[in-house]
Amino acid sequence: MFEGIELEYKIISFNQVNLSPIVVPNVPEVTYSCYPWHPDRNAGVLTRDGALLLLKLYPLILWDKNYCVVGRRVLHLVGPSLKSDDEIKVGYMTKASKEDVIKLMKLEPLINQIAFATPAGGKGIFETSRLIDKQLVASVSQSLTQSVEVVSKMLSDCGISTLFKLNAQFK
Amino acid sequence: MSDARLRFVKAVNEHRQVSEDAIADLVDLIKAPPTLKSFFHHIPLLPQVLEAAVSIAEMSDMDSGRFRKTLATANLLASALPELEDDLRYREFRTPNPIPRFGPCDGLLSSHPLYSALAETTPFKNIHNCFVHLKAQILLAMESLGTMDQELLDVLHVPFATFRSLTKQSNKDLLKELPDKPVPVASFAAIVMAVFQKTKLQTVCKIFEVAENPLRRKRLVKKKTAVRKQGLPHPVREDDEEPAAEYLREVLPSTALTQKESADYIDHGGLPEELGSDIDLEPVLAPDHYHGPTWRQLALQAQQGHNRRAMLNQFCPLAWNQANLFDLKVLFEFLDGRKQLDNFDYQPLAREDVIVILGLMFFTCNSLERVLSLPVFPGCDPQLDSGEGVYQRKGKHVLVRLRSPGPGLTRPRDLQGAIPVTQYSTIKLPPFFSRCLAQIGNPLSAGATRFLLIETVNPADNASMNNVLSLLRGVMGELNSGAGARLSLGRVSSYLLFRVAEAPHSDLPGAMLYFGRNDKFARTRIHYTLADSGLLAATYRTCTNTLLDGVDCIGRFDPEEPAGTSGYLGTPFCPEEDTVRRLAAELQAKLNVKSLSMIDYHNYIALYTSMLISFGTGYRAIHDPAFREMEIDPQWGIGVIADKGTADYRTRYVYLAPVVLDQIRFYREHMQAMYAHLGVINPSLFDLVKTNDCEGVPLNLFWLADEVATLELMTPGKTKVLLKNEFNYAIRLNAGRHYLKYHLIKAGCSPELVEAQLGHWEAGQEPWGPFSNLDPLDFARQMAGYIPDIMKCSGWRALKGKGR
Repeated sequence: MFEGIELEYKIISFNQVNLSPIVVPNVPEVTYSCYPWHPDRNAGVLTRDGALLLLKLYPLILWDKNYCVVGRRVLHLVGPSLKSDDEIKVGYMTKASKEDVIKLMKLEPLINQIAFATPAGGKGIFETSRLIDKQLVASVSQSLTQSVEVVSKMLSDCGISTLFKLNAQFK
Repeated sequence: MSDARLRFVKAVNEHRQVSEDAIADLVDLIKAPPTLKSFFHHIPLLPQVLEAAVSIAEMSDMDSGRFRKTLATANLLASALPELEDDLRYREFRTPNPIPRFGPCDGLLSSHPLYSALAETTPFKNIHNCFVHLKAQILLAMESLGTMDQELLDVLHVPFATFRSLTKQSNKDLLKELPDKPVPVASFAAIVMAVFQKTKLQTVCKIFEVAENPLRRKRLVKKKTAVRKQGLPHPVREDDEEPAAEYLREVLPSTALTQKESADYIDHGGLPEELGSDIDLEPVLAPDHYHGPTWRQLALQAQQGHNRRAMLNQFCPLAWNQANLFDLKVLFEFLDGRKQLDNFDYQPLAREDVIVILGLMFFTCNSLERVLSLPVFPGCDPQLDSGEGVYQRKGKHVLVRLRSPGPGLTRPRDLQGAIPVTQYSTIKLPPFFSRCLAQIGNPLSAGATRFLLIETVNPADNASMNNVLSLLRGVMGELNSGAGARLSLGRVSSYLLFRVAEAPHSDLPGAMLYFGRNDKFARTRIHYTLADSGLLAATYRTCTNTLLDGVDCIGRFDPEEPAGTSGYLGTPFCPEEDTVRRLAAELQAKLNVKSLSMIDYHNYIALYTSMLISFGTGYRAIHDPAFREMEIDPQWGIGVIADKGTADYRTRYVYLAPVVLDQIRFYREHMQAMYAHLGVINPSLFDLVKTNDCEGVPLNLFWLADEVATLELMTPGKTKVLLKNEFNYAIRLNAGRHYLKYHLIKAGCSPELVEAQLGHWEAGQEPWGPFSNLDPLDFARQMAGYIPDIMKCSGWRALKGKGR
């Protein structure tokens, strides 16, 4: 399903990014390895430079009305560290249908579990996949259970440890 | 030798053979400047002076060798002068053309007074010799002083400036009296003293005094220095300058050999290396020349001094506008009949009426119009529903009942849980007033109930009011002119008001409420004031008794007698302590329920924080009472609030009690957890963070219907509905301000600090303006003695949210 996505790169200011209200993940079950705010500072857990670097490594994928449909966790992390007029580079889906977007958003927690190496590790990936519609997972599992090289091409920013966990879980 | 001197030596040696040392000796003798300015002007004058100096030195048994040598040099120079003057290369030594105002040596008097003096000439030939011998004597005197330092130059400046004026024609006669031939130095000094004494030129004598007596010179110099040191300490250090730093100072350690011992040791075959260095180094603190405040401190002190003067200038007219004890003694003597205005015409009233009016104005602190409009109820006691009026009870003191300006347009159901207030204040007048009435047959007890104090005067009728006003002013004027007092109707009707306002646990709005006044300058503050009428009555009695003692009058209140007044005046929106305590307890109980969802928990903690901040700071109920992180100083417990009008004028500091600071901190942690939980799914929460622009965690207090619902800020309307529906709390949300003010005044906090906390000020009385001396840190320290206790008694405590 990832093959058909066409992206157009754009530079927009941070205050133009909107959080999509279309699909809501099952929030209580989502666990993250770190909080967006630093516990002792009046700032985000990332520095501004760190936040801008993260946005370059994991660019946000926007859709109609600048809704962020992929990369909401990144947006969540960089939100406290960025200013409204910061210019960021994003990918813009021009031709995706609403159904495609909903599928992507529903799968995003699973992709996040894979891409961000949560403390739960392989267990987290497995449990997250259980919370998502089985048919949806099945439609992408073909891709996700490929070899490490294939997945690393698909999720080009995955770390080695994540790929190792992924490999161990699905093979 | 300076460059100019070397060039001069070279120039001379082109024409005559004169040694460099000889020229240097001459130049040093006449104390010439290094530039040798106008030296060509001196050259023809010097031989005469030096010749006279040689003669005088020989006559005075002084060494004349130096003068002889310089005389020879001067003669050689004089012979070479025509050639030198023609040489354009040396025009810098010529006499300036045109000649400056003070002669060829203009500008050299302060630094080279002798050189300047030797350039002076007199146009009168008959006194030429006298002037030359005077200059020679001065040359000898200055030669005895040796090198001149700056202090000596300062001392000699005025005498030499006076000497310069000797060449004027008006002083020709004085110069004539001086000897025109050589005279010994000691004798010449005495002659100069005798000639110039008691003339305006007597300061010239100081030249010879200084030369004669070096000790005196030192004393003169010291005196001058002492005068300098009396000045203000001079800040030699800038504010950002580093303090004195350590450096290494060379010292001679006591264990080292002296130079003589070292030399002896070396003579005996010792090696110099064995001795080592006889100089050691030790760290010492650099001399600190910092003897006073820095520039910034001086500027601050100057500002404070200016503010104090400004405050004083404001207080003086205030004090002038109030009556003093002497004025009141004159008034009381008139009221009790000891002082009569025998030939005064009291028309259109009677003397008794004037006494009643003035007495009521003084003891009720109200205007003439208000007093005249009071109805009189002889033989009646006021009831709970009685209106305004003067109640003359049989055999008892006079009571005056006045309508108090507390807000009256409230529905009783909105005031459930608030302290009940009464609309009327009852003032029991002192026995002194009853005695005064008895003296004049007590006109208040006679007749039936009447609607006006003086039936013949209608306060609505301007003509009759003007007549009464003129009459009372006439009485005041008669009393003032007879005794030298400053009585006026304004001073009479405001004296007790200010005394009651100044008493402990009281303030001006409270006193206004007690006397039923609603003056414009205190109206806002009156709205927020709840006054205990029993306490005010006791204060009134104390102030009246003190006053009567001060003016030697009898008729004091009996201290043992109960005040007989109770209840509260003023705002009806001040909640009872139990109401606030119950609200705090119910909110805390809600948060203790373990089965609460995260959203519900957030809603209650936001509501709780909102109410705690409102009651702890006096935040106006205009939006959610949230601080931004940059508006809080947790170290000093100070926050910044802009909750009214233009932010630049109405922004104020408020004290933040520890419980408030803790609650804000816990709410901050809670917000972090909320964003961590909902930040990826709730667009409005994300927008709140997005627009916060790195200014810390957004601390807005908001309500959420569910996880993805748009958040609603805890505005007063929203909060009021929540409190009413869930906690049956119906008092207005601004009640926190009323509650805080009442409890602060009750605890004895200064009214100025209370108004600063609440943000009430009149123009010119701004607590945080440029003319205020209120230090925010002092303010916070003072408030720390009151607000934490109030919060604790009301049951508020900091509660943790869903933080980590």
